[in-house]
Amino acid sequence: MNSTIVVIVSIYLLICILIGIWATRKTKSASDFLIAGRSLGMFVMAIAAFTSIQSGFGLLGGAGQTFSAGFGFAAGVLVAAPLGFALTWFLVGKRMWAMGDLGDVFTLGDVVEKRYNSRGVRGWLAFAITLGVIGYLGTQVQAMGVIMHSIFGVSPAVGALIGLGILAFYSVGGGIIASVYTDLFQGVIMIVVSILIFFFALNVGGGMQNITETLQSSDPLLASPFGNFSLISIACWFLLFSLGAAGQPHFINKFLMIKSPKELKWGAFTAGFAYAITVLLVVSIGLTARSLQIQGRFPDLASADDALVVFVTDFTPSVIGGLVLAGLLAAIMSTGSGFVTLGAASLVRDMPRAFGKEVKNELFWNRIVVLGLLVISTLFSFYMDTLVALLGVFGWGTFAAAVFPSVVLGLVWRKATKYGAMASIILGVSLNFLFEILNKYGVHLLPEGVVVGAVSLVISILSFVVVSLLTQPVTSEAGSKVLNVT
Amino acid sequence: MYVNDRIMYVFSGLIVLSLAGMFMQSWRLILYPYLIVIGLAITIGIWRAVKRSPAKIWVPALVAGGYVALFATLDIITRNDPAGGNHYFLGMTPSLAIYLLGILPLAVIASLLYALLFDAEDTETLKQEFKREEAAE
Repeated sequence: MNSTIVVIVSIYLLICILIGIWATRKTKSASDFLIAGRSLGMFVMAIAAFTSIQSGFGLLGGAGQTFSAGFGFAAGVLVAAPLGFALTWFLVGKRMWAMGDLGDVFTLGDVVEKRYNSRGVRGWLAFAITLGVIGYLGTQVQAMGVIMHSIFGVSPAVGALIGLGILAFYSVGGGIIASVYTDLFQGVIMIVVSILIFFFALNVGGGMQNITETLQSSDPLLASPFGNFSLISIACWFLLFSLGAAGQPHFINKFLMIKSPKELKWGAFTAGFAYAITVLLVVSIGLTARSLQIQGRFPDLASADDALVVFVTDFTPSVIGGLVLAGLLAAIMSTGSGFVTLGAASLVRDMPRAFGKEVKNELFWNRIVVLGLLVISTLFSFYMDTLVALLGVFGWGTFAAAVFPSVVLGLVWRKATKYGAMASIILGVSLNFLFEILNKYGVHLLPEGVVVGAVSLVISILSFVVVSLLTQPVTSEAGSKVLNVT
Repeated sequence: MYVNDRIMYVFSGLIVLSLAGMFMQSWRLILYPYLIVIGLAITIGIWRAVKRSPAKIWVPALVAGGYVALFATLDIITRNDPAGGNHYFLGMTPSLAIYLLGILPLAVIASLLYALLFDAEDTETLKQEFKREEAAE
């Protein structure tokens, strides 16, 4: 890899370490470690929210999908995500902040226990989040190895270990403070680079109309908003990635970290606008790279996911390429750090409290568990690849199905009950796991094109509403009737 | 600041239609009810403001109506041709232009409307309501 790129990525990793040292000094309690001591301002929170949603999956996968089959993936997933910010702020922004202000609310488990007065809901939610976290972490370790391998030329295993060492350094010490401030650093890089890359890509492709005409000459669908994707999948993605955003625990727990309700005001706009800018990066690289390939000017790729890396290394100045690759690595590492803190909170705070126990010295144990989760996910990714792949299916859809009804709808609807919440969590996790595993082994229960996460989300919402209505406490109604009579 | 039950029932009814669309393999039956759900979700978010001033219902109506109008236009112009026409708009096919210059920015406009309607005092009301609920249990 070009030495300029190596130097830029090395500087980025060094800055992450420095942020980690600073954050470790600021972290003095479990509140600091899990919710940044409720100290975040609008910009830091909004950019951290944006980067927690815009991950390596959206950038690498989005550019790869656009390269191979046109705009359809972006039409369903990437265009929906900015709407997800608006819906989340509208639905739960103030409600989550108000819950957090009740005191001693550090996790989504705390939120649901207060809302439903139920340790059971806390326990099931913690279980769902922990499973998701372990799966996500395993895949992040693997992705980190691949990126470090392509930048530094080391083996993927060594690359993963180097990345994990840095991740562990700042996550164990600095917890969520380190996570959100590295997110901020990464997010700003992403926004600047996206704007630059957009114009570079259009220029390399000979202008937008030239790109469009080239794509149309090969396949007219490539210049349409649907590409070669099924319209059913696009509609499912649009629903899942906008409404389901409000069910992403690593995103909505950031509302608990804001210092004042006034900081909510411009957050949705900042996060949504930032995300929309990065959509330009993904789409411009994907479509331009495909148009260059049609003209025979783009190298053959082993995988469509390589489109972004090959484009920035072969077609942009080294400085821009280095910044994009640093941003990619940062996207993976920030997702990892956010998830590892979330997992630690579930294991140290939510699980024991679900069984009526409280851990003393939560800060110490959170740090130990963060380290433990990183070691476990590394071992899984090295030695239990199949298990990582299975747990990796616990993605966006599972979190949406498990968290959206129980947390989001629970905060907006008075008739929500703990039984409705538990039913939706259990059903959401089970359906996602069942459908994905069956798909993996060639058994397709759903019609073609239908997205597993979308089906699971809507069924989970409906089960939440139906079970809640069926389990309304009779005492309150009877009591009020008695009061009315007397 | 819990919302009226009827909103939740309409919300659920529309979600049922989307689910039916998934099993009937009709992308229109998945998408169009969901676009109304977007409006309902925004209504839930500004419920207190709407109760104070019912005229503010224009905000969710504008966003949901905007999405319906844009997707319906896209639906109509791409019936026979995925490009939506032979001309170009800023170098894009008309259908891609609707998506990138209409549907994508509308999400950002919805976020802007959140900021314009924002009232920090609502959070205090919410806190008191959650507190009362906690005490009642």
